[in-house]
Amino acid sequence: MDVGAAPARSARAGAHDAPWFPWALMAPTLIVLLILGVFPFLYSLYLASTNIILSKPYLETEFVGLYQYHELVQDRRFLNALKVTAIFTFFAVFIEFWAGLGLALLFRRRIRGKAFFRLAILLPMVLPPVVVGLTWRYLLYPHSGLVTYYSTLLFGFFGLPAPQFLSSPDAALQTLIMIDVWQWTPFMFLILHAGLASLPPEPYEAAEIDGASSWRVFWTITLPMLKPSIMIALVIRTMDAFRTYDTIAVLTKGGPGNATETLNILLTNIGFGFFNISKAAALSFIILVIIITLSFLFIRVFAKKQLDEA
Amino acid sequence: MDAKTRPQRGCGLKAAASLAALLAFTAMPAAAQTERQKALAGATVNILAVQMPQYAPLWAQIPEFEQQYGIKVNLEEASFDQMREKSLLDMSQGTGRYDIFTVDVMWLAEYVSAGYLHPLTQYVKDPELTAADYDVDDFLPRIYSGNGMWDGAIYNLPIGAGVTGHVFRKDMMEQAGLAVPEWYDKSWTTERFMEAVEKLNNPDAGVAGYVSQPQRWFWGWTFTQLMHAFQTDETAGDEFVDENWNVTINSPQNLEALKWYVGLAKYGPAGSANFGYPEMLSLYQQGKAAGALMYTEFVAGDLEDPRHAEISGKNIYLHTAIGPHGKIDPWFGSWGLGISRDSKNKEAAWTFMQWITHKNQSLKALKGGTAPTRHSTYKSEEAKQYTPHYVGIYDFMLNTTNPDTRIRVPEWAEISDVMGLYGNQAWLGEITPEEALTNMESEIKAAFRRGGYYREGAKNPPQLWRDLSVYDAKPSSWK
Amino acid sequence: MSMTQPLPVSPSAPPRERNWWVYVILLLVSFVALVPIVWIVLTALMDRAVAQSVPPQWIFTPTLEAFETLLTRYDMLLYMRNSAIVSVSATFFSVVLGMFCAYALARYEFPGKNDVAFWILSNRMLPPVAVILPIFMFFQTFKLLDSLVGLILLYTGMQLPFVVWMLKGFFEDIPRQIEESALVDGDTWFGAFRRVTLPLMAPSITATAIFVLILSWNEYAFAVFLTGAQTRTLPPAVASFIGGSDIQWNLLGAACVFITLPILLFVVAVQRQFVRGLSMGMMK
Repeated sequence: MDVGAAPARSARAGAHDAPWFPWALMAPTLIVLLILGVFPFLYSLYLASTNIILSKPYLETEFVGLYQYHELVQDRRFLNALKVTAIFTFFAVFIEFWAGLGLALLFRRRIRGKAFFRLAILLPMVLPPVVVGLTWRYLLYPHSGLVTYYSTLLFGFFGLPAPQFLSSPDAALQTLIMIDVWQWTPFMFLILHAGLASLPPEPYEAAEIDGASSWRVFWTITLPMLKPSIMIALVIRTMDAFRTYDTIAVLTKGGPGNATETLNILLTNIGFGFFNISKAAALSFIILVIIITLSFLFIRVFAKKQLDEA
Repeated sequence: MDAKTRPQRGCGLKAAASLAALLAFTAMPAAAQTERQKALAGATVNILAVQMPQYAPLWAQIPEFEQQYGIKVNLEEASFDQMREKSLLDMSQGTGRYDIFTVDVMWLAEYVSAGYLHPLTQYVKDPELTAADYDVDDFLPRIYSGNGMWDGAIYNLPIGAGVTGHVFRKDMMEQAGLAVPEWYDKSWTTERFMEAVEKLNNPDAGVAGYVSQPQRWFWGWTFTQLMHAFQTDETAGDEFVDENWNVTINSPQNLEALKWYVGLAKYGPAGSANFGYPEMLSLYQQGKAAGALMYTEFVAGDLEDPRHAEISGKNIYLHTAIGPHGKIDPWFGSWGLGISRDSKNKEAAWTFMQWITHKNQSLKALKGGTAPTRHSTYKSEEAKQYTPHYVGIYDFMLNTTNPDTRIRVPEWAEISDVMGLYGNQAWLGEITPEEALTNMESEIKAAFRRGGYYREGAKNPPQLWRDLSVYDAKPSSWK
Repeated sequence: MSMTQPLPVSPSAPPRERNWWVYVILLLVSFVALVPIVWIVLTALMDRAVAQSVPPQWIFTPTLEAFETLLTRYDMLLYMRNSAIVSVSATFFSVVLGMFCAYALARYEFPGKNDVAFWILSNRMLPPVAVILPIFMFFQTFKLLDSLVGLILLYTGMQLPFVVWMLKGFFEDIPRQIEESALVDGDTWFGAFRRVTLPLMAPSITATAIFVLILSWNEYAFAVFLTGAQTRTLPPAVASFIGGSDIQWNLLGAACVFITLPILLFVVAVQRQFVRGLSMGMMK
């Protein structure tokens, strides 16, 4: 990632060489992010240290230190949400990654109609998440939904009971994962497809001369060279899967029971169901720490490997 | 969508408006505007309204009001799911973006104790701002105070009220050889209900005996009514808490109620554990269930509308079943209009409110399916003709209904959520009914504790459900 | 940089005649991807009864009833206008601002560089629900509630981290010698940037902009709380259809078509640039 390690400053000296120059370029971005980011951050930090319930202004506000965090980590609903989120994120991103990579590899073959296939694959990603949620709610509607109807028919043909999509706890989470896969595999495909397209041909030519099997080529050449794209795709997807909201809110809102109550849905329930904003603020910091750790690990792991290989 | 159910905008409105203007000209003595009302012309009133089909006939009359008073009314509709969070966020920050909120009775205590709504009686009594023939005593006392009263004052003006019941397919009942009961049949007990549902259940034909809505978000409705029905004479009133605010939800009566409700699952459609109202309704509308849970305000739009030709007219409406100890669920549901504390146009807002809840407007809305709230509308010929299913509940709303079926506390939203989570898990079989009630008890207790109930010298709300006479006060007598 | 070359084909790819299974897979994937979309479009053309009929009807007399209801009952055109203004403006600002930031991070070495980059990314990590209350308060203080300007500012900020991180990778790919030779020729920094770097980056910037446009157009959680009757964008409007009791699927279908069609047509029109632009800078 370290491109300009030893810049040859042969060009005409000017403002662009001054140490403040990159900061000047970054200033507008940093200012916007500071404006929008710092106040919410500090205010949430304050909230999390108090006991404010927004709909109960008549209770006196007290400083409670780390009480909210302490409460949360012992709360079985929090632990359940953590588990649900981990399962959802891991399986969704895992399946999306391999499916997206597989499709991207298929696109390297000589096939006709690439433009059509590419468009078809990309479309689900373009839909607003709210629309995705509503569409699947319609498709999975009891009795009359398209998917419900045909799958009941199909399962009935084999003498099996009709599949439950959103009504049994396990199935509901699996269904949500598959909908996420439906919607976001295109993203993985797009990034990895782009990454594959920009790989230099030389290593492949060398491998062909060596007579390496395509399996070996994939593991020893394609995957390692694809790492930068993989990192971007995984970091962004993991972050987004972790905070999936719209589709779950439309489809199950956390139910049945709390089988699909992710951290984000729990946060919504605490924050906008009970208006217990102090607890919600504490929860959002826990979520932030988890996501930062995950992203940091991803970036470190990939960056380190690259250095090792360089 | 026919013209009369279309809210404010669009071409259908013009039709509605001209029709309304015609009616205004012929049928009613055009209410003379006072000087104060005339001075309000040019003001704008913003309403955040819940999107529910039964209130569309009210909003459809807005153009007529605008024409008559010169006050502009902006209606912003939010879905039921978003209504409370959007209202509370806005109220708590004091934006004054909305002058009027539609308020569900179950949220009234929360909004008012936080100070977010403005008391209304000063306007009701102001002849400069309220039509001379407004006749506040025409409202049923329990609807007026039940919908709007907190801490001795009125904050919410009713636009619709109703009770919970069941809807059954009369033809299917007859086919199954069951005697068809009537609304408030003394013999319609939980026991008989279960037998009927068992007989009606016909999975081979794809028809379930009864479809409920055990989804997590509806237990404040679905289970509360059963808790009431299963109490004994001694325990009535202690459904949620005793007189000292000790949480009593984990009682033998409630356990019996929960077991009974969970027992319904085997006569329901497969995989109904995550059914909410829309899913339940859809199955019933398609003839895939012989019975369903119903709320009277939904009947006109969801079952008896001409759009539902396949089922309309085949339904009978029953009150919820009578419990093993002879108790009946005294359900009370209502929506009203409240003025925001932060409104800068309170007088204009009130002018609209008193106009839209006037008997003339209520009568017109009744034809579109809005539930009556007044003696005159309940007894009107229009009610008999357009909404016969409402007529039967008049006496109930007058004498039996308990405005505090869902206890009147600011914590209701949380109580309802806690009931739903563990109730739904019990329905799924993930936990036993005993565990569900234990969990409900501990979390409801925690909610009360956070609300400051158990502190030394805490001023807890009065438990008015133990003596309903408070709600029987004449509407005009409220301060 | 070989952006005009056809996509390189793996030398180990088998000859075309053994590719039939590839078509099977691709057809299957396309089928799964398209059926829900096709069905919701068909539903938009159904009347109420057909939309919930069992079994599903694939052949029916199409009607524009749902669209008519939608357009007469709701201010859909106003919502669409709001959505367009907000998402196009936010895309413009986030790409223009983010571009320079990305350039600085890609080209310069300075202390704390990695920390700044990571901090920028971390702004994208909190779920919207977590910051709605403070953002709401912020908006109220600065009179930004119910205003498109506020929404534009917010979406610009929301998309900046994404823009910076995408473009950073692309900038790193452009050999710095090209710029330096321009500078040696006596051009100013901005002149060199505008005449040399920017044209090279155009496809990648376009691709990023398309992404950002889609994300802004689709944003829902903030829009629900921060918009009012006059400033509502399409996603919260569409979501309000399901809150009611008796869901009218054909209306919902029409609303989904309404919200998706503009962005869909746009993506179809620009998909070539989209894919090409993304393919550029993935290698470091």
